[in-house]
Amino acid sequence: MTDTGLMMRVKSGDKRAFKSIVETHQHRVINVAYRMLGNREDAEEVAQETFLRLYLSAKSYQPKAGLFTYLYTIATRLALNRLRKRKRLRWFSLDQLQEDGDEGPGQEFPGDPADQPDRSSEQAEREAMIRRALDTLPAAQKTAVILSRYEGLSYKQIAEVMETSVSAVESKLHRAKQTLRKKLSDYFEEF
Amino acid sequence: MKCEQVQRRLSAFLDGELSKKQASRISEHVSGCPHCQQEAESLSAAWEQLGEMQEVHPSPHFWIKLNARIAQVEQRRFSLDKVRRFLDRLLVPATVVAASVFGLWIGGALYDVQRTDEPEVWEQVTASLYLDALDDFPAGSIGSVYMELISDQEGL
Repeated sequence: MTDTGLMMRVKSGDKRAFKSIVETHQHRVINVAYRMLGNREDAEEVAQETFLRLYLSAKSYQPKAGLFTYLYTIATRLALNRLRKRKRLRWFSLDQLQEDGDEGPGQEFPGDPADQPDRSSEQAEREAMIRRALDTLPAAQKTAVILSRYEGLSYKQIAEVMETSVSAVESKLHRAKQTLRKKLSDYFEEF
Repeated sequence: MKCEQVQRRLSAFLDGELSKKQASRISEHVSGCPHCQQEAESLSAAWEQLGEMQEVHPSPHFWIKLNARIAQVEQRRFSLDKVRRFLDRLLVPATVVAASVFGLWIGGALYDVQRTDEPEVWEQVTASLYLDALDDFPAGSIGSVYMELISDQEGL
């Protein structure tokens, strides 16, 4: 059955149809959140919240775009909210450390090493560098890069998820690529 | 096409997002322009450097946890609905009771004032009602009849 057909059944309270939607999309949703947040626990929290919101808004769901577009929209917004909260917390902890006469933290929140048990340290280091480069991008550019590079979405699909125009997506991705070119060449030279 | 125009659309070109016509114009320019060619190669290399990121898998209890959260939210919604329905049922009788109590209280207060033997109190009441505006009404008008009634009251 299609996503739209399943959602119509969810609208009438069919939990099994909802479970089927969750099972189909949970992997993509958790991974987009993970790529944005770099932390497995946070990504799972965002994925849970995404599906909870989908369920609670099922009655008003309109199948305008694909369901995965709708899920990506919710998940990326929730992930961005978390990133904003982290930034505020980082400012707070930076103030605290400066008050204590200590040095501020030198890096963004890196991915939890425990999330990467099968990775070699070289791979983990490389991924951490990429993540640091991505973290330097403005939130909208970072979202566009993740949706394009790692999720394989077309510009049109990204525009739907980010509720913007295709030309705006093109411009964001172009600027992001220029920044990443600079950042990554710096990182890989050091490496 | 100018280099500037080509470079603005290079990302979309590299991502295969342009129409055949646009793509062939850009491709034609890039193949004959070393500067744009280098720009395209370096952007493409940076994109490739992003590589593959590790994938994570949802925990085996993902659905169980989600289902529990849904049940919790639904339970909260159900309780709130019950309270709302209860309050809705109470709204009309509570309004009637409140209006009756208020009416009785006002009536009682006015009755007490009317019964008082102290003329100053009555004067205070009439003064508080701003009845000065009703002075000197023409004979036979509603105002003068009212003032007569008030005077009779004072004479009692």
